[in-house]
Amino acid sequence: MRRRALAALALAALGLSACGDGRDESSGRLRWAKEPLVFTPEGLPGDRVLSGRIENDSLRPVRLVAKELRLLDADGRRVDGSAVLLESFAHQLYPPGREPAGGVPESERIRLGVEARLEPGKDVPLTIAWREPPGSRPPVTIETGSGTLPIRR
Amino acid sequence: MRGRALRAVVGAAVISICLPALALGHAERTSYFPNFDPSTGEFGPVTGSAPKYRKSGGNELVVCKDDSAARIASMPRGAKRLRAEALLPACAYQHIQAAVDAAVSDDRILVLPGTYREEPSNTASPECEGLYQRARDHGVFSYEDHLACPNAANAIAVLGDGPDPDRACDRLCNLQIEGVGGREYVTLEGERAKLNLVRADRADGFVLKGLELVHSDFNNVYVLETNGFRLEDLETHDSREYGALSFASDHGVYNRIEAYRNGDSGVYPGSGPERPGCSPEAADNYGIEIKNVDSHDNTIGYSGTAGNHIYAHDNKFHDNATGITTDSFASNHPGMPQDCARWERNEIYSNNLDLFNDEHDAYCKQAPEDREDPEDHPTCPTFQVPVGTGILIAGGNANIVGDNYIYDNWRWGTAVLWVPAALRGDDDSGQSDNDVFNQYDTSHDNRYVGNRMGVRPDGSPDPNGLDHWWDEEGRGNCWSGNTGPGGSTPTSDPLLLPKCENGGSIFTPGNPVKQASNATCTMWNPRDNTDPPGCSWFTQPPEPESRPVLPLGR
Repeated sequence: MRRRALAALALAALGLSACGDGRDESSGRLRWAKEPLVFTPEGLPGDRVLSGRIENDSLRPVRLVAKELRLLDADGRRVDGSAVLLESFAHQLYPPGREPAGGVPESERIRLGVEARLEPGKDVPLTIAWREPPGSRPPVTIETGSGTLPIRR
Repeated sequence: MRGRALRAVVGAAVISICLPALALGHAERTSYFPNFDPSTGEFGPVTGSAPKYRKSGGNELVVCKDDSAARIASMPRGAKRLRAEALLPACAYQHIQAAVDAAVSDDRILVLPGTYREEPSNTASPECEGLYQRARDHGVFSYEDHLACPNAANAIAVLGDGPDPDRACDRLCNLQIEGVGGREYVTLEGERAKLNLVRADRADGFVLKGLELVHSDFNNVYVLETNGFRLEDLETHDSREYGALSFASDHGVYNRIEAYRNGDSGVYPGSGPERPGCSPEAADNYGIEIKNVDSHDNTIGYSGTAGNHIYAHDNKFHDNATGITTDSFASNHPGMPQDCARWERNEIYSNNLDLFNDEHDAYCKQAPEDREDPEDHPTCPTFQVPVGTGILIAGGNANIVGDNYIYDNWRWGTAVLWVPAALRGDDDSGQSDNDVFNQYDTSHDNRYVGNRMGVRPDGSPDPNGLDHWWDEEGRGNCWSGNTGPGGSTPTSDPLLLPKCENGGSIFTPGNPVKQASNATCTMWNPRDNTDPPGCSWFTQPPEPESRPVLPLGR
C-alpha cells in the first residue's frame, strides 16, 4: 500500500491521475478496501445496492461528499442513484426543514454519512443504490471526484 | 454504566466551554439526568417518586374563559358539572400561563371548560424580542433564557428551578394543572405558534391532567430534566412532531393518553432515566411507566431514542406507520446506548399507515401553511420508518418484549437491528457510553418472550408480514415462547432464531445484505428524495394472507 501511495503522489505531482493496479481497476486516490458486495434488495427486483468500504490510497486526506459520487455506465453516461457513507441505517437529528439557521453542523453531516474526511490509509463505508429496469445500461464505475471505482458483478 | 465516570468528567469539562449543545430533533441545551452530577461526572443514587394526582392541598387557582359558564351549562348533569359550577365564581385568570405565573409550589391550577389559545404568550416584550426571534430560527435556549422570557418558545412554561446554578427544582415544584371536566371540555389550542404548548422544565412533581392539546409546532407536552411527573387523561394530537415527550427525566407516568396524528411520535420517552445496571425484576428498575395509552395514526406510536428503563404495559399502539421504536441513533442524547426497556401486555397492531406514497409525498412537500384540509390528511412524517412494522429496536440492549399481542403489521411484527457506535455521534454531557473503539456495542441481550404473533386477543388469526426479523448482529438476543395462530411457530428471518433457555445468540457482526438494505433508507428526504433506490421501507407492504398453521418446532 505504501508503494501505491508513493506512486500516486508522484503521479499527482506530475499532474496525472494515478492508474489502478490492475487488481481492482480503480483510479485516483481511492480504492476498494475489499471487493464490494452488489445485490438485489429483497422485494425490489429492479433495484441494486452496492455496499463496500473505500480506502484512501494516497498520502493526503480526501474529502468525500456522498451527493457528489456519480454512477457511470460503460459509455460514461450518468446513471441516477443515491449514496451514503454508511453501512447501516441512521436517521437525522434534525427533521427535514427544521435545520438550525446556521445549517447542519459538520459533525452531524459526517455522522449521517453525507460527507467524510478520509485520512491516508483509512477507509469509510459506502452504500450506493440505483434502479436498473430491464434493458437499461447498468453502471460500471463510480466517479468519486478524485478518480473512479469499478463496479463488478 | 459506572465506567462512564472518567469520560463524563472530561465531557463535563468540555461542556463548560462548549455550551450549548444539541439534543432531540431540534436545538436544545445540554441536558442532565436528575441523578447525574456534571461537576463530578458521576451518577448519584436514584431518589424521588412519581407524583400522585391531588384533589386537595396548595392554593387553587381557577382559570376560565368568557364562555366557560355556557360550556359548563352544556355539560351533562353530574359530579363534573357540579364541580365546575362550584369553581366558576373563583375564576381569577383568563390564561393558564397567568395562573402559572401566580402559582407557588404545591398549588393546583384548575382550568374550566373552554379553548385556551394563550394569546399573550405570542407577544414579545421589547426585552424578549431577540429570544422570540431565536425561537423562530430554531435556536438554542439556555434555562436562563426560558426564565427570562418563558413564552418565547412555549405557550405555557412551568419552570421549576430558580435563577441559580443548582439545576434543582426550588422555585415552582409539585404544580398540578387540571382541566375541570376533562379533555372533552378543556382544549389548549396552539395554532402552531410555539415550539411547545406546555413545557415543564426542572419542574419536579409536575402533574398535567384532563386536557386536549393540539397544534404545537414541535411538542404538545414537553417534560425536561424533571424528577417526578404525571401526564394523565390527555388527548394530544396534530403536533408537528410529538404528542407528549419527556427527556432526561425520571419518575414519570404517562397514563390514559390518546395520541394521534403527530408528525413524529404519539409518545416519546426519550433519554429515559439512567439507572445502574439492568435488573428487570427489581422494583426500582424502571423509572418511567407508560400505561393505558392509545397511540394511533402517527408516524410512530411510541419512540424513544435512548429510551432507557421504561416500563410500557397495557397500551395500544396501532394504525401508525410503525408502532414502537426505540433506538440509539442520534447524537447528544444522554444515556446511550439505549437499554433496559420493557414492553408487556400491549396490543401492537395494524401499523401500516401509508405515509410515504407519491400522493402524500406531494402533499407534504408543500409548506405547512399551504396545505389544504390538514385535518383530513394523515400526518406528514418527519422521520423515515419502515411502514408496516410493529416494534423496532434499533441499537438497543437488554430490552424485554413479552406477552404482547402483535398482529396485522404487514412488514414485520418485531425487528431488531444493529446501530454502530459511530452513528450515535457525541454526547458531550458525559452521560453516554459512546466508545468509537467498540462499534458492535448494540443489539445485545434483547428478549422476545411469550408474545402472541399474528393473533388477535380474541384468538382469531391476523398475520404479520413476518413475525420476527433480525439483522443477525449481536449476542444474547433470544426468542422463546412466542406463538402464532393455533399455537403455531412464528415466522422469522432468519428462519431459526436463538432460544433464551440456550443463552440466546452467539455474537456475529450481522448480515451485510440486510444492513446495507437498511442503509439505503438513510437517504430519504421528504423534499428531494422521497423514494431512494434500494429501500423498501416506504412502500406499504401488501396485506399478508393467513398461512397454514405450522406446529411449534423451535
